[in-house]
Amino acid sequence: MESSDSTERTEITTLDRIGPKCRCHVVGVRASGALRKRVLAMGMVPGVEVETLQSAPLGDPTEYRVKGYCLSLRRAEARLIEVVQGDEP
Amino acid sequence: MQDMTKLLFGAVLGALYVVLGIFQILWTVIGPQPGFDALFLTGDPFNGFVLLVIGAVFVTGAWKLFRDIGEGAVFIYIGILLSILFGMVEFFALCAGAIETIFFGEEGSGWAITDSINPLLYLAAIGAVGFFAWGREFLRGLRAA
Amino acid sequence: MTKQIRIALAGNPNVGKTTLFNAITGARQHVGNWPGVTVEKKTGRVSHNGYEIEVVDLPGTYSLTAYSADEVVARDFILEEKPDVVVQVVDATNMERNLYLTTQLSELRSPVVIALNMADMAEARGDAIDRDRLSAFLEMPVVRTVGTRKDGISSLLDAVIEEAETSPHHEHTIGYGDDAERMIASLVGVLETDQSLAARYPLRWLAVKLLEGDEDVLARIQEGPAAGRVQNILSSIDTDGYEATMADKRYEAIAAILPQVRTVNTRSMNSSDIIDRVVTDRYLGIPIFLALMWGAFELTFTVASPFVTAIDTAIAWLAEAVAGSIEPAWLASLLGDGIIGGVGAVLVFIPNIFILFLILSILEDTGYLARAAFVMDRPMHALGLPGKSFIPMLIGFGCNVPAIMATRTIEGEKDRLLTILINPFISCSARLPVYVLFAGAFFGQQAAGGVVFFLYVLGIVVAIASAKLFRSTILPGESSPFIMEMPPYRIPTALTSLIHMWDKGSMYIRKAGTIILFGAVVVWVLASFPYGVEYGSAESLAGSLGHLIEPLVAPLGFDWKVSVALIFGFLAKEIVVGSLGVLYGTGEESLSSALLADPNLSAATALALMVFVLIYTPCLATLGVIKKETGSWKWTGFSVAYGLIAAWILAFIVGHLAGIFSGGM
Repeated sequence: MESSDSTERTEITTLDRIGPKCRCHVVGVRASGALRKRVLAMGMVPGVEVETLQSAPLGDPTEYRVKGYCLSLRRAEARLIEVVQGDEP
Repeated sequence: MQDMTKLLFGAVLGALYVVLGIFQILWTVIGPQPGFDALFLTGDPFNGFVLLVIGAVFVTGAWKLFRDIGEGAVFIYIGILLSILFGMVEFFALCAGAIETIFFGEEGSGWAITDSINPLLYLAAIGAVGFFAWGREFLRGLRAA
Repeated sequence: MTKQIRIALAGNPNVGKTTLFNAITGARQHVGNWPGVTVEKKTGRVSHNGYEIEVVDLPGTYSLTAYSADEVVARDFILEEKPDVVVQVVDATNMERNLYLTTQLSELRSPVVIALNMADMAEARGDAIDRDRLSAFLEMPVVRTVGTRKDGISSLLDAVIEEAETSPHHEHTIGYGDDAERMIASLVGVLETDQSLAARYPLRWLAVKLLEGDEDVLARIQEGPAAGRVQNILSSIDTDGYEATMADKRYEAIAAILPQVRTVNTRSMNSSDIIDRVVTDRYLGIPIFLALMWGAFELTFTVASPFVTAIDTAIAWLAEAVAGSIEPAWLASLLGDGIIGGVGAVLVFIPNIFILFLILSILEDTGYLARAAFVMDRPMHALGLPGKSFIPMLIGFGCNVPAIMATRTIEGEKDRLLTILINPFISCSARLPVYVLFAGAFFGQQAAGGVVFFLYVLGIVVAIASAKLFRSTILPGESSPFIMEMPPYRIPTALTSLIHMWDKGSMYIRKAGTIILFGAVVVWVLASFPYGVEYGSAESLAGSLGHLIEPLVAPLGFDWKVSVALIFGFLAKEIVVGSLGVLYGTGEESLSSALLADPNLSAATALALMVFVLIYTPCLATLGVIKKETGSWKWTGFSVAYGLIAAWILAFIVGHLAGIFSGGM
C-alpha cells in the first residue's frame, strides 16, 4: 500500500471526531435496524477507507468520500461508525 | 497571465454586483434617489440580495486568487454561472411581462420595457464575456446526466 | 408473430437510469403508482427484432434489503412478477458501490444484464474497463451504454433478448465464509420442508435474508410449517453480526474482481469536488442556496403569470359564452359556474406546476438538490424537518399546490407527510387579496403593510408549531437519518427534464383534477339551490348553511355573510372577496366602504377574519393534491379538521386580544 507518514495510531474513535481532509478506516458499525442496513449498503463496511471532505455551513452534516463516491452523514449517524485514524487499517 | 485576468475580472464584476446590490436594498429603505436613472434600479430587496450574493462569490474568488489559496478560480467560474443564470431568469421575467402586456394589458397599465430592466439583467452581459473566455475549460469536467 | 418479454430496470439512484429508460422507450411510457405505496411506477414499451418488450422502471435503490418502500417494491417485483430479464444500470464511474446491488440481484435468480452506463464519462477521465472479463467474472452479459446519447441501446436489447431465450440459468453466488455458509445451509435445509415456499422463492436468498435479520422475509415464512424451526435457529445467533459480515463479503468479492477488469486514472480533484467547495462554503453556501430559491420562485410565478392570465381569460370567456347561449338557465349555470369554473380551478395551476417541475428536475439532475438538502439540513432539523422540506415550504408562499407536489423529493414517509400537513399554513398568494381588502379597509394604508406582514409571520409560526406538535404526537420520532449520496454534478438533458415535467403536470391534472372538479360541482349545488335563487345569495343553500353555522363562528364575531364567504373560500381563498361582494350587493369596487359601514365588523373582527382565512381548511385544489400525495382520505380529513380547529382558536385569541387592546386605547 502507499507509504504513510502519519503516526501509527490504533485508538478506536468515531467518524464524527475525524477532522476535515483526514483519512481513516472503518472498524465497526454500531447502528442497528434499518439504519444499519443503509450504512452498510452505502459502503461503510469494516475495513473501508473514508476521507472527510467538508461540513455544511452550520457544521452538520459532513461530506465524506468512501469507495470513490461522496456520501453525507449527520453527526448523529457518524457517531455510530467506529474508525481508526490513518492510512492503514 | 491567466489567473491575473481572472482576478481582475472577478474583482471588478464583484465590486459592481456588490455596489448595485447595496443600492437596490438602500432604495427599498429610503426610496429612489435622483441621478441614478441610468442604473435601472428597481428597489427590490430580493433582487438586491441576489446581487450581493453573486458579488460576494466573485469577490471571494478574487481574494483567494490574490492570496493564492487555490480554488479561487472556481469561485470565479461559479460566479459567472450564477451571473448568467440570474440574467436568464430576469430575461424570462421580462418576456413574461411583455407577453402579458401585449395580450392582456389593460389600457394605461403602463408596463414599459424599462421597468423590467435591472442590474441582474445587464450585469449578466459581463458575466457572459467571462463564460466565453473560461466556460469551456470549466464545464469540460462535467458531463451530461 | 411477435413475442412478448418483460424486463425490469434496476439500479442505484443517480446512475442515469431514468435517462436510459427514456432512451429505450421514448414516448411510449406510462406513469402510475405501485399498489399501496406512493412510489412512482413507470412502464414503457419498445419493439426490437420482432419482440415486443415491456420495460418496468424499478425505483432506484442501493440495496435490496427492507430499508425503504423503494427497496421492498423493487425486490417484490423481481420475486413475485418474475420479469424475463433484469437490466441493472451501472454507473461506470462508480462501479464498486453499484456492483453491490449486482451481488444481491444475482441471488434473486433472475437473469441479469448489466448496462454499463455513463461509459463515456469513465473513458473521458481515463478509466479503462474490460467488459469481457467483467462479464466472465459476473457470469452475466455486460453492455456499454451512454443513455444521454442513446448509445448502445440496440446492443442492450439484443443481449436482453438473448438472455431471455437462454435457459436454464446459471446461478452466480457469493461465498459468505464458512460460518455464514453453515448457517445458510441449515436454514435452507429447514426451508425445504415448506413446499410452497420452495416453489415461490430462491431458498438460498431467503436464508441469506433471514440471516441478515430481514423482518419482511421473516413475516413471509411466518405462516408456513418451517417458521418454528427457523425461529429456533435465528434466536441462537446474532443477526446484526452476520449482516455486517455479509455486506463485507459482498464488497470483498467486488474488490477481488475490480482490479482485474478496470484500471482507474486517479486524479486528486475533479470539477464536482471543487464546485462543492463553493456551494457548501461556510459563509456563501446558504446565501447561494437562498438566491437560487428566489430565482426558482421568480420563474415559477412571474414567468408563469401570462400563461395563467391566458387560461383565466379563456375560461372566463368560455363560461360567459356558455351562460349566454345555453337553455335552460340552470344548465347554463351548472356548465358555466360549476363545471367550467371547476375545470378552470384545475387548469390555472398548470403553468406554475409545469415550470416548477422543470426547475426541480433540472436542480435534481444537475446534482444541486442534494447540496441544497445538505446545506439546509441543520437549520431545518432544528424544526424537526429534513433539509429537503425547505423547498416545498418556500414554494408554498406562491401556491400550496405545486409546493405539496414538490414534497416527492423527500424520502422518509413521515418527514414527507409532516411537510405536506404543515404546508397549507404557509400563506399562499391567493390569500393576499383577502388581506389587502380587509387590512386596507380597517387599518388604513399606513398600517396595512404591517398587518399583512404579521399574517405571513403567523403562518410560519403556526407551521413550525404544528410540526413540533405532530412530531411529538401523531408522527412521533426523529426525522429519518440523513445518509445521502452527493452525486457528481452533471449537465441536465432537455429530454429527461421535459419528460419529468410532463409526468408531473399530467399526473396533477388526472389525479387532483377529479377531486377538484367534484368539489366545484358540490359548491355550485350549494350556491344554486333551491331552484331559482340568485347564485350564492342569502336564499341559496349556501346562505342557509351560513345561517346554520353562524352560532359556531359567532364567538369570533363573524355573522352569516362572513360564514357564507368562508364556505366559498373553500373553493379558492381569493373567492372570499368576490362572494362578499355578492352578499353585500356592492360588487368588488365599493366593497371596502360597505364593509367599513357594517356595524358587525370592527378592526378586531377583521383581524380575526384574516387570521381565520390564513389558517382554515386548505383550498380545494390543495386538498386534491394532499389526497393524491398522501393517498389517504384520513390524512386529507385530518388536514381539514386540524386547520378548522386551529383557525378557530387562533382567530378567537387574536380577535379578542385585538379587541381588548383597541378598546383600552
